[in-house]
Amino acid sequence: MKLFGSLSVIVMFSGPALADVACIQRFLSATAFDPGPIDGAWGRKTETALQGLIEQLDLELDYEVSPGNSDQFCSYFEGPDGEQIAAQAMMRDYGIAINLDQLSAFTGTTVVDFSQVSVADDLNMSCRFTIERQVREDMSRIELMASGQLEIVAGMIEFATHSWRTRGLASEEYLQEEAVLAIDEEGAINGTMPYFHLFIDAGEVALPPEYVQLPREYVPDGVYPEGVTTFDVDDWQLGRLKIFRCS
Amino acid sequence: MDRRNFLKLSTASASACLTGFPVHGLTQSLPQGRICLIILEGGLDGLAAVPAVGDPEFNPARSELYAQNALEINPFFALHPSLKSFAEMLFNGEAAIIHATAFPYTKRSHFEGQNLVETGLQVPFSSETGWLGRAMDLAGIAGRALSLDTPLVIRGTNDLANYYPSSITGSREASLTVLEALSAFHSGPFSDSVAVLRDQQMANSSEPRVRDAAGLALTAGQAMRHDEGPRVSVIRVNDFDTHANQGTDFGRHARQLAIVDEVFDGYRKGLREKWRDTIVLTATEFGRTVYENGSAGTDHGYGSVGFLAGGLLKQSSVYANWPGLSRRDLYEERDLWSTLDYRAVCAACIEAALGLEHDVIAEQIFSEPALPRVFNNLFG
Amino acid sequence: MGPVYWQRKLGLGRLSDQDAFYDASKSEFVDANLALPVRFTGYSSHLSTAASVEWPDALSYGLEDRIQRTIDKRTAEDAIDEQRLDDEQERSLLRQEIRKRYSVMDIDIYRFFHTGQSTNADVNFRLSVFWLNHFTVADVGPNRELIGDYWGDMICGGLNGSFKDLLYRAISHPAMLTYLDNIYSVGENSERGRECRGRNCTAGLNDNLARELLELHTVTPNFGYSEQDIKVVANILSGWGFIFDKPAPIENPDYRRAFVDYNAEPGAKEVFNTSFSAGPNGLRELTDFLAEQDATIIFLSRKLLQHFATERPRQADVDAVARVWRETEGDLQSIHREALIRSLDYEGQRLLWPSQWAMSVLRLSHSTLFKGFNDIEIDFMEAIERDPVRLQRELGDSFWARRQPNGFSYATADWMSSEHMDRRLRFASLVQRGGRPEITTSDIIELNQFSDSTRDLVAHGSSEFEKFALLTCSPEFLEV
Repeated sequence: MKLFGSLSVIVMFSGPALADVACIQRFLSATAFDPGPIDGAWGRKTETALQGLIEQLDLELDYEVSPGNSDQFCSYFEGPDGEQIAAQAMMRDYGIAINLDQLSAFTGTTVVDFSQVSVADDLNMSCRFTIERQVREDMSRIELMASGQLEIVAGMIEFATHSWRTRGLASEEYLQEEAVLAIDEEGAINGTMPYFHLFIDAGEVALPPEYVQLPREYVPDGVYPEGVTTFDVDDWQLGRLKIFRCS
Repeated sequence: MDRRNFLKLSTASASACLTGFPVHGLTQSLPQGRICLIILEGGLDGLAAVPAVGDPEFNPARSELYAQNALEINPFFALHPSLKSFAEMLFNGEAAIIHATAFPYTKRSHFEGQNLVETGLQVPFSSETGWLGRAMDLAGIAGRALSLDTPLVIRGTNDLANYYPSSITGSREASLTVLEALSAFHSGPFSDSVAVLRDQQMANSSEPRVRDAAGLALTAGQAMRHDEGPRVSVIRVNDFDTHANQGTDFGRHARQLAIVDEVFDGYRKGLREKWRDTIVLTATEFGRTVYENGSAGTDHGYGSVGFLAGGLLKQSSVYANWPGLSRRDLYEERDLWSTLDYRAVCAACIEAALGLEHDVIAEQIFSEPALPRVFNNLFG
Repeated sequence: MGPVYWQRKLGLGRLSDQDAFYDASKSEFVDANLALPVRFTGYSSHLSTAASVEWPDALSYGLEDRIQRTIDKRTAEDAIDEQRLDDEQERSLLRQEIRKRYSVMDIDIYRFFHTGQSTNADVNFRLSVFWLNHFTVADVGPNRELIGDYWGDMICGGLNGSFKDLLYRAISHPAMLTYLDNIYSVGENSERGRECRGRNCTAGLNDNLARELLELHTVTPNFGYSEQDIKVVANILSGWGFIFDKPAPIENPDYRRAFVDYNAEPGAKEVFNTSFSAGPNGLRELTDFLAEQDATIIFLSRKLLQHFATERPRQADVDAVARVWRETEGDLQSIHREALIRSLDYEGQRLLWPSQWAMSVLRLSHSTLFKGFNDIEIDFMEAIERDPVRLQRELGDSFWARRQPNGFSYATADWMSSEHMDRRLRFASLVQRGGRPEITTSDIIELNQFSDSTRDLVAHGSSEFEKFALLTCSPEFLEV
């Protein structure tokens, strides 16, 4: 008789209390971490949900995630911090796992192929530049579209301060962010860049730039790498990118 | 200080002339942040824009409408191929997606739904002002609508200008005499409209004239970059009501998403260094049905997606309290549930950009004292 | 206030003098206006000094003609696409040529503006605009050539009939069936539906038209209907309309009664405690049912008053129009009459939609701005915008644009902004610079009895140009 009595006492004290686990599950079910049914039974779902919440909120606790600590978790959630935790856990943070290769493939961005070009990768200079428009039907008609500074860094062109005369949408960002140009050992510029090809008058609607391919032709003019690289735009105009006063 | 006097007194001020949008109050007391709202009209299909590829029910439910070249953002969610600039922003820690969210409206009517997106309330047609308009009133700042009309969402304050340049050959703008006389003669909204027109002409703004959404975003961004420029702007992108022939990688829906992508990029380009103080967010009246409807499209639904971008965000992520896609997890067995009142996201953006307090926003802007605060999740 | 004032309020202001109306009482005045036939008028060239003439029959196209043109245009465009031309410019030139050959949309817009500007039945014109907005259709591509017929034939022709006839004709018109995607709607148990299940193709109900029919065109959500109700309505609608610019599923389709049994859900349908027949009769029964409902009557009575008077009409007036509606069982002439007479008791409270205002400017100043129907082909390199197609886009209330089914709003706040004011002022300048107004601003003021306060406002202008701008953008002119 006595032995039976002591056994039942042992049984009652092992395992987590149903009430505590249910308390945890109730708390979790109001957040974005779904513990499954609220049945007081510590299962895989409850554990995963609790683990997820702790990780996302980066909670620093002295006790680990295990059924034995259910009472501690329950008092924590019912305590003064509980409301704030529930608010923060309202949404699950799924995170970002994008790597650069994936991104490049997705955006299809400017992987301009310079493999056929002998890029002057030891060239580092500061130059002035102008971009001009030349009318095919009258090649003497050349109009200034933009002018400013650029840097040549290991053969690649980086546009610095400059300004466009076309008005409209033209601003520095376009050349600075979207031009992918390399200078080769002859001095010709290769690659692609945005080009504002029209002057926008007051009252006219402004247009985004054309994206042009270089080079069409190159004519050196001065000490290397100074010269003029022309490019095709459309059937009535050519473009000219001129580099000069390099140091 | 009276707005008109401010302009007359500050004729020497270069920045007032540049933006043409004089603001009341001193520059120092203006909020530092900028908030840009993109309204997607028609009901955005959140599951097409951000497919929940990690949900086991996704493939059977959506096999007809899933874009093959979506980008996997994380094991659970992917991104539609039209959203290239947005993907870059995600990568750079400047963008976030909220899924399974909507304004608390389930009756699926454009008419009512759009009104609620703009008023931010729960009863359709119950207000003459919009939530952004109320926010601007509370923060004491000027805004700009990039459209011909003044959208409801931004009404509430008088300091509002429109920007949607006309293209009428041979027309002339009115003389200042005419504008002055009309402004004095009319009352209410007429008078304010004329006054803004007069102010713009006097400032002789040299902004480029554009009308496509991306161009508008760029010029708006440029204007908002100035310290005394507008702090709020609104753009609408329409045609999301894809009942038929929605398309997958290409097609109607893809084209409109590409416009949204360009708008995000336009803002970033225009704002330049002020991008770090900006939040851009989308809003739509409802999502669409999970299952395709037999015309290769989707009908009106409930939960959808919100896109956010800008330097104010603390990190990039996808946030959701995911309701699941099995039939019994759907709203009325047809739509993605909304597990977050999207107004909480709007409120957090207002808090971040304009510095108002959550309780004030919840009560005075959204009339919803119990509105959850997600500021710490997104910006904190 | 007398007939001249009523004239300006009700219509767009008269071009020609109709002295007969000047001595009439209010109701006689309205009766006389409603009795006028809706004729399409215009002028042959913007340089002509002749009074307006009948719009040429050759430039009014029948429905079958329009549908055929859409088909031919589509075929031609597909042929171009197949060539896969590299040269973007060449491709776009070819497409432009196709458009010139087949498209009549621009001509429709010309006809709309010419009519608005010079018809004598201006009250009826405004009524047609009301119904065109209520039963909104807009450009979704294949229906853009049909909108002109939808307005010019279906609506204008139905103004003196009954509401239930108008409702039925609007809903079953191919422009509407295309606009709200009913052409894709296939009943689950229809022949096509069953075939598709067997062959694993997708075909199902599309509830767009059903939803908007209930929500926007007739009873409104106040009536109380469920998603299931919408579904049954969609079943009744299934089979109506087909994608006519692709090869038809049946031989020699009759485009006017565009009901395709193959797509239709078979059997009678039950909704709103009523049974509706199988087949095409079901739609007629449904629209008749909806037309009789009180919810519809009250909704539309209010909307009519909103269009002609103010955003928030008096309840007594709404009730009066509704009463006439019930008594005459939806006779549009009687209903219009009641609404129009009552609207005359309101002091200018509603902002005219931009195009309506523009037409008013032209009528009251006796100007000719737009290209005439002989000039349509000519592309003016002029310094003045004369093209109503472009102007309507700029003004912002084009019925041919891509629009939402709820149509244009009546709220002033939706139509007033700095950009809207800018458009109006610019339009006024266009009229001064190229519209050759035949009378001066002071004449306009005298002839139309504008108020003293408007005269005061106009006095601020130091030139005819300025005075004209002030008059046309004064509250009295802008508002109904």
